[in-house]
Amino acid sequence: MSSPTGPALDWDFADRHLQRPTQDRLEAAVVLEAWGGVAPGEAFGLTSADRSPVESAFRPRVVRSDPLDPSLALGDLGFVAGVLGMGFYLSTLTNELGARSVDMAWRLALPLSLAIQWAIRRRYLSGSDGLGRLRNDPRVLGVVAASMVVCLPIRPGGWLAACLVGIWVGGFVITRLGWGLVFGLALLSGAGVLRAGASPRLVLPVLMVMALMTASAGVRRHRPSDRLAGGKDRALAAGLIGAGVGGVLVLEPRFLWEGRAALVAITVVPALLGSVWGGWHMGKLWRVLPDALVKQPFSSSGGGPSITVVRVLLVGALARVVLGASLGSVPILVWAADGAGPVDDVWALLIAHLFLGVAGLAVSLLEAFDRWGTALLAVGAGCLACVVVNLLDPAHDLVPGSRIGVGALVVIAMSGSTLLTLVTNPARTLAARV
Amino acid sequence: MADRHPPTPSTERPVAPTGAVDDTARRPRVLLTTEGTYPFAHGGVSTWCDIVVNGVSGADWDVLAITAGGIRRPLVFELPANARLAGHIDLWSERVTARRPGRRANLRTGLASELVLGLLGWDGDPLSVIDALVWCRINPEKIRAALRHPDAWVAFRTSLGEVLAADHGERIAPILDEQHACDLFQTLCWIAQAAAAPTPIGSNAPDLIIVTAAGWAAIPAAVHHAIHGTPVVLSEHGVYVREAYLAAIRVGESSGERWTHTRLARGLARLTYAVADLVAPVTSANAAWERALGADPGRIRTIHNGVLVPPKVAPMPIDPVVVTVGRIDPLKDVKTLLRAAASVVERMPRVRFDHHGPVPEGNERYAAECRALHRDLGLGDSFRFLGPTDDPYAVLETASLSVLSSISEGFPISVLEAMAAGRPVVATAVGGVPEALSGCGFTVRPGDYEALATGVVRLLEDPALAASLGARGRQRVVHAFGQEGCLLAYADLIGELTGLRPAVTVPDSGIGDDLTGLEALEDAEPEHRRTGPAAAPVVRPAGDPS
Repeated sequence: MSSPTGPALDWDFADRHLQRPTQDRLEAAVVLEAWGGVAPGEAFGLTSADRSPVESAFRPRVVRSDPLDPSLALGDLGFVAGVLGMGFYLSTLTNELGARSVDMAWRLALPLSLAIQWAIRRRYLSGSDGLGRLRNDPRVLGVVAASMVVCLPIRPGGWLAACLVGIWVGGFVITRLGWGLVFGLALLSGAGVLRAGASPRLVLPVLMVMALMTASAGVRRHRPSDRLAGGKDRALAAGLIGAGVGGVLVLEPRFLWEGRAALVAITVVPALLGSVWGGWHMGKLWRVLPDALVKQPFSSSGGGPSITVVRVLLVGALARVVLGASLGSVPILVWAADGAGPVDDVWALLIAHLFLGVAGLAVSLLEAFDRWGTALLAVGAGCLACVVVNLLDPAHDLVPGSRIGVGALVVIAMSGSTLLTLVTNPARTLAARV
Repeated sequence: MADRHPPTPSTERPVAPTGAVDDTARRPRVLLTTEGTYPFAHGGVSTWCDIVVNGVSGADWDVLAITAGGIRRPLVFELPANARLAGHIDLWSERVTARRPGRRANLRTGLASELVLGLLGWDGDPLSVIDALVWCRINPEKIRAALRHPDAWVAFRTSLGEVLAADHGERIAPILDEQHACDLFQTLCWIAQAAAAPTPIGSNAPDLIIVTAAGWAAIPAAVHHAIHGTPVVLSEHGVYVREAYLAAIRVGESSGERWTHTRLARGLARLTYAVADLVAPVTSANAAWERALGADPGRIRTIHNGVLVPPKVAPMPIDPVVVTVGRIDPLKDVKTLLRAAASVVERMPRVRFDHHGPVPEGNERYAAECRALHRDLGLGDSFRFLGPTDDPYAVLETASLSVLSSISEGFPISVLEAMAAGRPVVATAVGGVPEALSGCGFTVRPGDYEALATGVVRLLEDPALAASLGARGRQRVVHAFGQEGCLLAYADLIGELTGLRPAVTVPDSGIGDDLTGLEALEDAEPEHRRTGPAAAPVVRPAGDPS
């Protein structure tokens, strides 16, 4: 490389070195110093003469987005599998332990498990090295254990709730580890042992211990991550949002359980499945939106195709929730029609759960956009609506699932306007996520 | 480097400052703000911080460290009893200083717009952002709401449009995409968060703030200065703006990214220079940049880095060994060093190059490229990457000479240490290197590996010249760049700005002023090797204006 020799040539020297037009005189001075051996004071003198501007045109950047990590959705699927598996246990458990115990356990365990699951996901599991972050903090196991201990003194069914929490949270982590098959087989084995006459007081604690130990051992095998865990306040907020979603789900009156607990419990599974599918689809937002934004030249007025992209994605996610829930509902309806329960009631429950699936997607989006205050308000209002309906309908004259449906619709209504605002201006939403 | 062992024997001795010390006087309290360095990372700036915090022992030091990325970071420097970590701002992490929702009244929705105009505008007044930054400190709970307000986004876009459209004499009109705008907005959010981070107040309030980089580290200092009037000193090592441009060139960023990064660095640097009561570059070479970016020449005072001088000079090794101490970083241009090594080995197959230095976080890819080049050049055992060292003087004892191939430097401690160890230096003429080496080594044009190789070969072939340059370098360090002088200069500076002059303690190297080590060095050289230096065409003795 030749040395720079004069003001005009110095710009050329910088251009040649950079293999592009030099941005400004500071960059030219930097190049002359770093690669031309020119002393700092001299470099400024040599580049002070302005050069004629270079015409430039907008050329979209090529950004290479990381593919969506499928393991991110595995934990949610593990939770769905856990609920489904336990749903099939319910008939046996109801017979052995009584409907009241099982009902109480279900009502306690579902919101608590969702809370822990949402909190763990927010604090540790966002990102491909999530399990490494989880490994760095063994106190999580203590928090799960403490949650279970809190359940124990509650009568009736406190011990069962503790077991369900352990199994569901353990299953969530086990499946995230990629060991979903092991978890599924464990649940099946448990069902077989129960049917063979083993006491639930033995089988459930054993399953719980196995789930937690497997999850713990699996996480400990993972390489620790260098990344810090997420903030505690946001994890706590996420946990409360998860608990709120679970709260809407369990605020239905318990008479529904009598005689057909398994069927009623399993009606939640299609909506959960749809919600996981829709959430997975919506997770593409963090890839699709930047891809759209880099193709859009900046203008002070804003707008542009990115709005359409996000809207299409949101509609796609909603469609997946509905489609997933609908497809999952078919076998349940067939089962009900086969005599497992009143088809009309099952229909009503499935639709209510579908609303809740949509509500869950809405608040999870708000939470992901760091609008957890709005999400908390929405689920809080949803729970309150369920309580109000319970108060207004003490005789339970309304159709089954009406509380869930009303609660879910309140959540959707409360979160809808914020969500629409966020979707209408996706660039601002992305920019202001800090 | 971290945890450097002082040269043996080492006993600490107090050093009287140039003014009188009043033992009953209150100890000055100094807030030291760092960016990506002390006490979480190795490097030249961190070493300087370690030396000053330990050496100016009569002051109480609060360290406010700024890092980025939400990475688990253990302390790599042990803080002495007179220092504590007063705060840690982790940018781009999930741990935000002010996350809790606050009242929505009196939101400063123009916050991002003000920052754009003041920091990114070519002719923007950097001091115009002080009011906005102070607002962030006073209202941390309102920052998020202010930045998320729809008006904030509209105002930001309008101001960014104005800055982009301004006629500022740039050669390429910047063209940004929407993602650039989002990224910039997020960066401004983090500037607001950095401004909101608390600095010590009350009984721990600093008497002086020393900022170690003219960038993010200045933000909390500027806010504290504005609220409490505490004097601010910038100790500038590498030139922040220059290194931002170099980083942008190295990464090959898009024109939009390059524009936003360099403009922001320029804005932060101008803010720092405007706020600082005193700009203390480690080399007068930095002053040209500082003046060009608005620093008042009357407030620039060069305080050179200083190193401890080992009491004795080890004899030269029998087999030729060329040592480099420095991190594996594009700024160190390790690739040029490798090419120079290949050229040297071709001419002198017995020569061995030993590189001592860590791979900093984020430089893994560059390190891999260097190793690939090492393979491609077929260097084998002739060039060894030996990792970080805690004891550079022990490393230098094994060296025939030291080489530095950087494209940007402040006043490199590794060069001073080589000089102090009586080893000749061949280095690129960047930053303060010519000033440090003046007459005591060879400097070459950066990137010119053949010149670097020629310098190395010349010294290896002429041990007398090497010994002579080494002896002169050691003498120069003793007289001009000793650690004691550096520490006293800072003690004086603290005393001048606070009225509280702190005591200084330096490890006693045992050399005194008699330079016995120099005699040892010269005695160690065979008489027949003592021949006079001759300039090579592309290599010039440092300090030679020709």
